[in-house]
Amino acid sequence: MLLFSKKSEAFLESELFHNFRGSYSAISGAGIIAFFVFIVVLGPSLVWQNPYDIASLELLDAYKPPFWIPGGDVHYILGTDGQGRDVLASIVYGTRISLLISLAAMVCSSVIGAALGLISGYYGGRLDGFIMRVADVQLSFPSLLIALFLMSAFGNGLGKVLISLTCVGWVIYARTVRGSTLSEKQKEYVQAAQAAGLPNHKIIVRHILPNVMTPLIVVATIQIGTFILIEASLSFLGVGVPITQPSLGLLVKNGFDVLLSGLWWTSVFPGAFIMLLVFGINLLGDFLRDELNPRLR
Amino acid sequence: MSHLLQVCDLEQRFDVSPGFFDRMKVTDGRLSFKRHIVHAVNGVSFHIDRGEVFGLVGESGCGKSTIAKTIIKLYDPSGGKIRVKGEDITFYDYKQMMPIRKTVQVIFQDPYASLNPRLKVLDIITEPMVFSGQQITKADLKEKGIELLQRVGLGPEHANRYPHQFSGGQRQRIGIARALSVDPDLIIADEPVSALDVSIQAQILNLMMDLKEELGFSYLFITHDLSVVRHISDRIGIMYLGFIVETGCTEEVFKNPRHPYTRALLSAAPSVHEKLHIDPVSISGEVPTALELPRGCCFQSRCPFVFERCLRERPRLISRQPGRMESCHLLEQ
Amino acid sequence: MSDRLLDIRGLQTYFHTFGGVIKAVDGVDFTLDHGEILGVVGESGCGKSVVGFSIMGLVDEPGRIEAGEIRFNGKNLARCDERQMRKIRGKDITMVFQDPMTSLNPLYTIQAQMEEVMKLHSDMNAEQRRARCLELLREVGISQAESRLNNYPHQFSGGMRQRVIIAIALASYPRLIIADEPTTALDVTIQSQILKLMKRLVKDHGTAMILITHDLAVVAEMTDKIVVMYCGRIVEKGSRDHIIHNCRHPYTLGLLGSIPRLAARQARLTQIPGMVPNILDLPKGCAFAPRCTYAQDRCRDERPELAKLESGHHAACHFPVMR
Repeated sequence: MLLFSKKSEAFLESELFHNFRGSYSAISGAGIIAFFVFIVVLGPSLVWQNPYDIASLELLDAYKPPFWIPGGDVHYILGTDGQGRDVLASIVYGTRISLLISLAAMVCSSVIGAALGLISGYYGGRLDGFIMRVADVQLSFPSLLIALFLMSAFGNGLGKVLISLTCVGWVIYARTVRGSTLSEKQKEYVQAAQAAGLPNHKIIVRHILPNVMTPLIVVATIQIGTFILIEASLSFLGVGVPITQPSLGLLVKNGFDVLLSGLWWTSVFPGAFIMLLVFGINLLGDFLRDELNPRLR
Repeated sequence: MSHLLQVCDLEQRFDVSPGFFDRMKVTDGRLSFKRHIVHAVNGVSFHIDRGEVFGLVGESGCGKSTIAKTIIKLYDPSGGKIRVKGEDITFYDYKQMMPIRKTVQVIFQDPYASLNPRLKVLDIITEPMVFSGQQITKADLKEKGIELLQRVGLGPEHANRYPHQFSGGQRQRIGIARALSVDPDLIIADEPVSALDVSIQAQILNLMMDLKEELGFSYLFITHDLSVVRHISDRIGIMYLGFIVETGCTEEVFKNPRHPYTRALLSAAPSVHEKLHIDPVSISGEVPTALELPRGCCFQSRCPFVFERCLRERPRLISRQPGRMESCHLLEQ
Repeated sequence: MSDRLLDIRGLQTYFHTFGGVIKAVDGVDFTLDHGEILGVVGESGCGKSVVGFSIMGLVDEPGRIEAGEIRFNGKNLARCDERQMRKIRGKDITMVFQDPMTSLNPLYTIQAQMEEVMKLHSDMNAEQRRARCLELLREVGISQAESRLNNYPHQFSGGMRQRVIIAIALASYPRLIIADEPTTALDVTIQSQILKLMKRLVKDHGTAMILITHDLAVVAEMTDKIVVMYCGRIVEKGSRDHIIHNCRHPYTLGLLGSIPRLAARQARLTQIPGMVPNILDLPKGCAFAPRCTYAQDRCRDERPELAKLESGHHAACHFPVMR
């Protein structure tokens, strides 16, 4: 316990935290993310309706507008959709799905991407050439297009979305980690480890990996936002998550048909939440990228 | 009685050819795809005996660091032989090299890059022991680690700190402790004090000499600094463009250098104290590229005494006096 | 003294960082006459490079010149604004930096880079500029100057690039050249050539030079006067002979003793114990006291000022070493 508080004490006095306190954008970003974490963790217990429990729905309450508009009901703060589902409740549950997929995709693609990047950078040669060519080819297509193609081949489903996102997302990790690996490999502590007799795989894991984590963290943070957007786009186009587990993107789609009839709240609010979440992630990610820049070393 | 280290006609070439299309060249109307080969080490031979310090001197690009890395098999040699205590390790693979790594260790140049910033000092120092194939308990490792720290002038309180909390000189001490951890017989020191301030350099040099006296190992001391090599080595080898041009006992070579490059090097060295009493030789121009070695002597483009034979025929390293060798046609008159 | 080229008094350049105030230069005084070569010597972190940058007005945030005067030809450079400094930089005072590999812009030819200075500070026409470029290249010993004018930096080796940089530094007939570790990145034989070249050019043109380096051997060969710095302060200054053969400050003595002799082998080098103190936490009193074998109580309490030992030789020490 003592060690933990020592480290947190050191963190609170560090330059990173000091700059964080002074940066409005970073604090806003962190605040937004905290808000969303709050929604995800506590949301379902705070929202009185579970929109996916058919029994709790009232069809008569369908398409009620947000409470500040005449016709609205204070029980349904942001209005309801065509099935009587409370928009706010749907957003709470939808955010969980969106974030769950994006975080899982981030973890998977970072693990795979980092592994490929380390191998590529450390061993070099034909293997490196091959992996990087695959990455280059993949990068020449827009990631949404690739994800779309994969999903149309796989069909809908949470797991399949995860696989598509991973296939799309590994490239940036691989390239970033490969670059850092190449630069760390030149350093003498790697040669010292070789001279001490460490086998290659141990050198990669024990010496190189911890030293390439920093850019990885920055990329991972920003990638969560990107994944949220891709998943939302896929769902919006109907090839993403199944209807039984709607994410924010699917919510937007569901309300899209009636958008132009004046029933805007079912689409606009989920869309606004997507925007807010990605914006918050980008703010924090930008701050981290500037702070963790190697110039500080 | 075999030498501790014997290097025979060691060669090291690196293929740095760019891609297929970059290699394409048209000369005299003919298409060719030339490979770019850097001739880093060209037939180097020397030996080191127990308890002595052998200094390898030369300017940048002469191949001295490459020799060090080749001896510990970070690269496989392109030619020649390496013998450690009589054992031919030239073609040893990773497994066969494991016992050798207890005999030969390395100290590196850059105190800021030679220690993993994410590992604690104790882990850094004891790493060679952990991977040397011997079974040691964690408690023993810790004890030996602290003993090593004290031996190099640091304290037990430093064991759990990270490299960035230390100065350049202290980091170099940690590097020395790491090399000592497996009780080696030969330590290859690749420019160990070049990145340090003068006053710290003196501390580290004194430490290295004290340790050698106490523990009885040998050094292969690689440097470009003539005053340092004069101070620390018993015998030296002067290198130029991957060739050894002169070797001998340090005193002798400094008092009476024979190869024109050695003489030029010693003439050029600035000195705070008295200058050397030698006939000054001044050279102009730059070191030629190692991509295309000249046909004759490696030094022909800058040697003030060059004559016709130097352009055709590469001189061999020959001993004309006991204990000294030079490769120069001029000395055969 | 109106005929002094450079007169620095009480220069203080501090860096205000997150961790505290770094007193990189803390009270430095020295003078320089026309045509003199001054060596500023010290180990890493002593502030010698910052002195050079302060004179040029190139100290970046979070650093600034807190106090002091830099009198150059009568004008106080410490008080000049950026516009005035730009007229002086490149014309009256020029600088040669350490790393020849990065001092030249890889995208422009040598001619373009040399002419840039001339365009800024003179009104020569194209033909005159080209002629001056050729003249300069020949002066610094680059053969086949005509064909090399159109070459790019990557086509030159390290030593040649440093010659080009020296040529650029001389282009506008400066009064003062500040050379910050100009030969540290070069090999011994090339270093010797470059140093000889610099000395000859400086003497021929009557330019003064401040040579900033950690290499005492280089200053021993090149300079007329030497200033030794430690932790942002001058510990000893005097003529070359005073410092090399008759130094009085324990730090200078220790420094000279730390250097191995080229001509004879010693059993053991004199070593200065301990390490340079943390610049954010300098000891009260003399900064060198914790490492000084001659230190006494007064040294730990009272910071020594530069005191005159003999004509032209000063040391900041309460108990200068007797010789």
